[in-house]
Amino acid sequence: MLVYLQMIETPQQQSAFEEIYLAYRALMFHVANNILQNDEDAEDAVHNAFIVIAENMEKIETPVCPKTRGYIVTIVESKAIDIYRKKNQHPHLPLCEEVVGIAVDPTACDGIARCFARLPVKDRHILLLKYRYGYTNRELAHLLQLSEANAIKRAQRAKEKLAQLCKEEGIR
Amino acid sequence: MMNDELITLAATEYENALLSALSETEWETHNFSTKFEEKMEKLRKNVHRKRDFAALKRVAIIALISALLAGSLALTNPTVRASVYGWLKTHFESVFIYIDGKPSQNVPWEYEITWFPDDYTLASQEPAPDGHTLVYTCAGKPDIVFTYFYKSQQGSQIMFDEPALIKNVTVSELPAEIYIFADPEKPKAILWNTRWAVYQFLITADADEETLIELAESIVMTKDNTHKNPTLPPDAG
Repeated sequence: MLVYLQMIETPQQQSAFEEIYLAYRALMFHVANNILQNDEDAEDAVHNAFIVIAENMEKIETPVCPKTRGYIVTIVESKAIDIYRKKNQHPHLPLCEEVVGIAVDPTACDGIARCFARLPVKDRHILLLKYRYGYTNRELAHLLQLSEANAIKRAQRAKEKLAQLCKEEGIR
Repeated sequence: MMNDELITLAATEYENALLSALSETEWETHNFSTKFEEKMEKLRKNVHRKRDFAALKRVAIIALISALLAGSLALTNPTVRASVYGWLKTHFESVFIYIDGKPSQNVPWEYEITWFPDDYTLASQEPAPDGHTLVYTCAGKPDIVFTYFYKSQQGSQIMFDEPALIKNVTVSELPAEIYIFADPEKPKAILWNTRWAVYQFLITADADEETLIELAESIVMTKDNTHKNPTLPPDAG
């Protein structure tokens, strides 16, 4: 039995990725290097992030726009933190997550966004990917290398933490 | 509990703050290394294939299953039909070899590859269901793996569980397929049946199509076991 399938090649798909690559690679390196403080590691994080972007091109409506920029930054930050964690694992001490990730001044945000900025970086990522960039639970699981059940639990916990922070800030 | 709309709004506002926190002037200066540029070049070449592989895979598997079922439905003997569904699956990286019925113990002919692009040598030869797997190695190069099996039952088939672009080629005038997987780290594969569909051959190698075909066309028979079963059809590979 022979199956012959013709590849459907759309110039738009290829050019969108190229556009993203050219527009954002420097920014991505900057974000990654800010976390990793090492050129080679930062380039690895950028490459890993582009693999994720390539696998999820359907999430990108417009290659160069603020939403895409935010998405790109979130992905590369996540990949940089993955590398950071691998390199800084301590057998007994937990990773101090508050010092990892891009520092966003919570006072630069209002209301619930301020609480969002105060979340630990891994919880921020989950909520950003799910609620801003439209990731399904299955896609989250794949990206974060978790089971789907764990991805759902993590998202739930992140929401609970956000609710707790809002309660502390007196925001309903 | 917070509602999803509120979280979405917060995420958007946070995103704005995040982007404001990143200074534009700071990301102009890095010269990416050659290693990075090479990895990205490879990724960029393959990115345009990835989107349609889910659909391609679905079609390929549906077509394969349909062909297999069409063959099995033609069998009217209920005992034989039951044996069609007794799959024995051997996982070989991303390759599954479905053996319809019980594998036979005697492989009629044995084969090996005789041409290589570099100084490859045979590192191991192990029995696979109804056949053999030969691994050829070369220092500093990825392995070339040659698997063949005797299609003692018509339903037996090698299939892949990963999305791939499939190209029709010929090997010694026989129809063959080259699989180019969506994952750029995976080697390519060339798959074909010998004349009269007695054997199915599979070579996986990190090589271009021309090299794959040349590897395939260099295969020769090394051992003839047909004296153990004189009713077998002649080899035509």
